[in-house]
Amino acid sequence: MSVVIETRTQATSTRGRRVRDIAHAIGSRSWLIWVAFLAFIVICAVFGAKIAPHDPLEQSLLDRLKPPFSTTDNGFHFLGTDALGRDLFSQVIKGARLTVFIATVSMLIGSVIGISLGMAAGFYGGIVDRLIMRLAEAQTAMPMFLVAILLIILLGPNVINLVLILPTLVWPTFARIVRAETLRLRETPFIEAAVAVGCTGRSIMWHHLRPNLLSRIVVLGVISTGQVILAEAGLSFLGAGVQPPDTTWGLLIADGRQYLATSWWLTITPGIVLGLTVLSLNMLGRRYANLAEARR
Amino acid sequence: MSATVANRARGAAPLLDVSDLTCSFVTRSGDVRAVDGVSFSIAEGQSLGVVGESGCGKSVTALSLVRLFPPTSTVRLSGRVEFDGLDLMHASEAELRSVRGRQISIVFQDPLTSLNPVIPVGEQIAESVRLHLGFSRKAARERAIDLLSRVGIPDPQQRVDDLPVRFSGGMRQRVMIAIAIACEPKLLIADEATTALDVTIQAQILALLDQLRRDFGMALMVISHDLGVVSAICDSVQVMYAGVIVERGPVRRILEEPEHPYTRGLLRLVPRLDTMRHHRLRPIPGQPPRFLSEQTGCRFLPRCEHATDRCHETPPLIDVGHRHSSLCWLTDDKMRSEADSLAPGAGR
Repeated sequence: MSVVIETRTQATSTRGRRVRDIAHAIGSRSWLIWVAFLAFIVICAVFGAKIAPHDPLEQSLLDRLKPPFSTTDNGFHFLGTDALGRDLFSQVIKGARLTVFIATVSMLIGSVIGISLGMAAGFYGGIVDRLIMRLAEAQTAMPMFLVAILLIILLGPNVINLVLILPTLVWPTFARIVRAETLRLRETPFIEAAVAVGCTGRSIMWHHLRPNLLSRIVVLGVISTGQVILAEAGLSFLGAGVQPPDTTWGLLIADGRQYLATSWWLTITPGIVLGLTVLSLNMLGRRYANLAEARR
Repeated sequence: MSATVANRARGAAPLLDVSDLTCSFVTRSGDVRAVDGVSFSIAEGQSLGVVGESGCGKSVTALSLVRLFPPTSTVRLSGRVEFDGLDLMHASEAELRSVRGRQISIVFQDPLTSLNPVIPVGEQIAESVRLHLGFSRKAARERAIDLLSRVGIPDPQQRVDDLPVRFSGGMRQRVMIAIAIACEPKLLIADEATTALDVTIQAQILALLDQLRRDFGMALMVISHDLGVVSAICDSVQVMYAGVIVERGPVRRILEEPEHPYTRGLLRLVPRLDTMRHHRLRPIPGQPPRFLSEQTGCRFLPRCEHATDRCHETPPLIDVGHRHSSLCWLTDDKMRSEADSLAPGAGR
């Protein structure tokens, strides 16, 4: 009896291992899917309406609110049409450009502010540190999204103002993480050695700390790009963002909202694209973090 | 004081002249004095060894010279530090930066963590010459390759772009030395530079340091807890205990005729080939004091096997001749009795 049981356990475990191996193989390659998806989004953002199957602004009231995969006199509509008969797929492609542009620029501005302030706080300590970190904490304590809406309404909803206000949402995270890393690195022997060589504080930060912070900054940058995309979509959805005829995914979702009961695709499809983009960014960010951690 | 006298006797102005250097760390529970009134000097091209147990103030003495302290610590310094005509004690931070790495270089203990892991070694060497000597990027790279071959790294052309992970411990210490000598400093401080290395590599690194000292004519300050290391490359030695120098003199004198009980205790800890095989090493009982109180008397008193009542008074630094001096009442006794025997009737 015992022999039989033993063999069976062994068999299960081999099969279990094979399943695990396959799962692992898929799991370890899954990042390619996310890369491919992001590459597609980036291509859409770069070429915009030029690669769209239809003119995103061309109206055709006869073909309004057609569901996905329907064919009209104008041709095939992969994602259907909206209330004015415009091709939704083309609009999603067009919306990618502004969405990606706003998110990237905001993230870059926010990261530069956050990294500089975080590094200064961690490196100089004392009053500089207290000032910067209190500012970051004070800001985190406020409902920044509401403040952003208020500011946008006061300053006027346009792309420039969005790009100026969205960075305020991301810099505290950069500042906190960069400060923590700087505090840790500042005590390491190689920084002490750099001081012993006669480096100034600025050159230590630029030449010695920055390369050591890079992997964390990249991860944070990728993940916070996702956050900025969401924030911008939120603002546009509430009308405090991009204004038509410019469009972003957030605006598309907002436009489709009133037809949610009858024409669900107007809201769901841009939502899925938005969700997948944020998800890809997070997945890739996490994968890079794991790789960087393993290399350490 | 006697160091100054010794130098004047030699007729050369010392490169580094330290007198009455005191260094305390300010902590919440009061000041912790790490170095307490240390005076010494180093002449150009001289090689001075500093020995003592952990925590006796060797490293802090060296770090005080160029004020290299962790940014989070508060340090109180006093005394006089004169280097090559420059008053380092009152120098500004900018002046100190131009001395660090240019005139005074330090090689630290742990080569594994003292190199920036994400910057190629060549760039780390080049940085110093670009900073202090204003070399162009290209010239600095050439210099880095030259220095790598100088410190005995094979294939410097290829290795210059490698990251530190691709070097072994001994190799990394060679890179650290290359960084330290990049600007041909006048003084190189090796702070336990060979402690983390195995004995064979240690010997190689010591030989390299000695060779470089001769080539560049730089002075060397070797800090170690190992008398063997110091005896290998130093002309003179000073023994530190609890923040003070208890004995100093030429290497040979210290090794062969140690005066201070602490030095003798340290020497008994060096295994020798010529003694009996089953001879056991005798450690010095007890620990060095953690915090220096304002006590008077000899600091070694609690651990000394020759302690007498008189040791509760602070002993003087007694010159025993041959530029050898010791901070102990025993030495005082010995000198007195020698003086008595030389001049009978003149004594007590």
